[in-house]
Amino acid sequence: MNASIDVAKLAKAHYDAVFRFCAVRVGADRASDATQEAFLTAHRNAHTFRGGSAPLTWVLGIALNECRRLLRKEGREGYLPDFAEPAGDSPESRLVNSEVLKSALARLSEEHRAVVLLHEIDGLTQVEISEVLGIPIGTVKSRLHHAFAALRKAIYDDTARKEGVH
Amino acid sequence: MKSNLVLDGFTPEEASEINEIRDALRRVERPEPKGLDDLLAKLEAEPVKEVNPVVSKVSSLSNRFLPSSPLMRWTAVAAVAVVFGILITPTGQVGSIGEKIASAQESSSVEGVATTSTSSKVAATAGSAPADMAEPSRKRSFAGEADSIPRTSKAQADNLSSQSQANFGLAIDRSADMEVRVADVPKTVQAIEAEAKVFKGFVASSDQFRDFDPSSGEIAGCNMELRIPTVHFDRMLAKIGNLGEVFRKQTSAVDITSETVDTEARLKALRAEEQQLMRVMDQTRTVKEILLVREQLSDVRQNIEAMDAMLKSLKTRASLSTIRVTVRERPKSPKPVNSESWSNDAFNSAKESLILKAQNFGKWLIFAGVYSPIWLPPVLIGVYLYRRSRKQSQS
Repeated sequence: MNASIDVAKLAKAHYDAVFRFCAVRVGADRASDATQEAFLTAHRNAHTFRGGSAPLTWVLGIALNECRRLLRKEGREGYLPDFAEPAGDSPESRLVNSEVLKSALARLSEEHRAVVLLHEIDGLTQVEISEVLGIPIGTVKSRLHHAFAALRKAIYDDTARKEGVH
Repeated sequence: MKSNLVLDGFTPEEASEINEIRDALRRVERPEPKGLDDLLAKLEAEPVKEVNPVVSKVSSLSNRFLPSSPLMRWTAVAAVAVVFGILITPTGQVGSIGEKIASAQESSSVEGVATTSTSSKVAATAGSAPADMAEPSRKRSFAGEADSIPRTSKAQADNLSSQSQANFGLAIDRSADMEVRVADVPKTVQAIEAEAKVFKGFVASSDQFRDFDPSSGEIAGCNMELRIPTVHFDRMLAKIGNLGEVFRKQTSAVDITSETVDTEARLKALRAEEQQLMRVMDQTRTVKEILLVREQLSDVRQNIEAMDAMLKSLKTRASLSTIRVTVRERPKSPKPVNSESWSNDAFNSAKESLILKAQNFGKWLIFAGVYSPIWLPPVLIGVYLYRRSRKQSQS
């Protein structure tokens, strides 16, 4: 069933959320372009919105594709966001610091990295992730489990082993 | 949106480590959002796609009955097509080579026609006087296939024109100057503003004035500048033309495709240069090297910003056309000038006045005669009584 959708109203309500979503994936300098392109694409294809998911989830799916297209076009496929260090703690003293985390994320597969970012950074539920990525919820759960196992292994086991060697 | 990660399958120690990773992930840097106003302006300018009700219905039915997964959906469609083909085609004649060739030729000929019509519309869009010159060429290209190809409405033609413009990567800056003479200026201005809104455009400026016309004295007018999505340019001109008498009309179309493509290419090259400089920056070791690369990076980024702004401006010019319209009050018809002298005027007016007064008097007499049965008896009785009383007093 097709449901009519007012993209201008949607943009006013959720522009900030979609902008931050894009900023995580393409960087702050290109986030504005990606967000605008995502909403314009949604506007052009508003008649295809089936109402099976929340409008925001639908736009996030479009934004995700737009970010991938932008990165591919600019040859920056492996882009990862920056993470802030907690105040009052030196990065060297923490095992899970920004650099280690980025390195561990970079070693994840594209699919695993996508579910981790959607779940932890964008705060989507597993149902919403399945709608954004167009995959069954069971696959989302499985990917999350394996992604976190791989992240834990990359950060704790591998880092600890290296420190033991040195 | 609530987060609920399933940590099943991990030991408590592993779960604790994973929670620490999750905390670190949530410390991602989040920049301040910007560009909402730009987006809203673009959405305002972008025409809403009109959906064919038949297509919408078919889509709705397919969404209802077919699986949601694209792969499953196409598999289902293919299966239905195969079963349908087997059922309606007699055995032994299924997909003969001759039929396939004929079918291919038929489809290619149809494609040929479609291409001709599209190119004629592109020519119409790119021409210097698009609306007026496009029609004959379009009619010529359709002349042979008049029966087989349905005629498109003006709205569809406009949409197709813009689509072909987009498909061929053309960027055309269209503008028009026109003047219309109307009976009621404020009403016409309101009508134009309403039409601009209907076509998702807006009134960029409006200036109402009063002018002096030697034959009819003071007349009202208004200069307006409208920004209308290029798709609706011709229709908006026609609507304005219908509001009054078109006194002057001039249209122009400037091809800014090469400018746009050139700017895009330069922007792409600058972005590539920026990436290269960023890679060089990663390899720098001394402060001097860092400063040198940063300076170059700053220059490149400034150029990127300038190019980006120029590209946005060009795209806006291509997507929004400009219509400058002057609405002017139609000159009132001048009074007939009497060439005779003032005495003749006075005599004529006195004569007219006398005739009018005589007519009024005659009218009064007729009324009096008609109503005489009412007023005459009391008057006669009154006169009789008056004379009688006078005679009695004298005797």
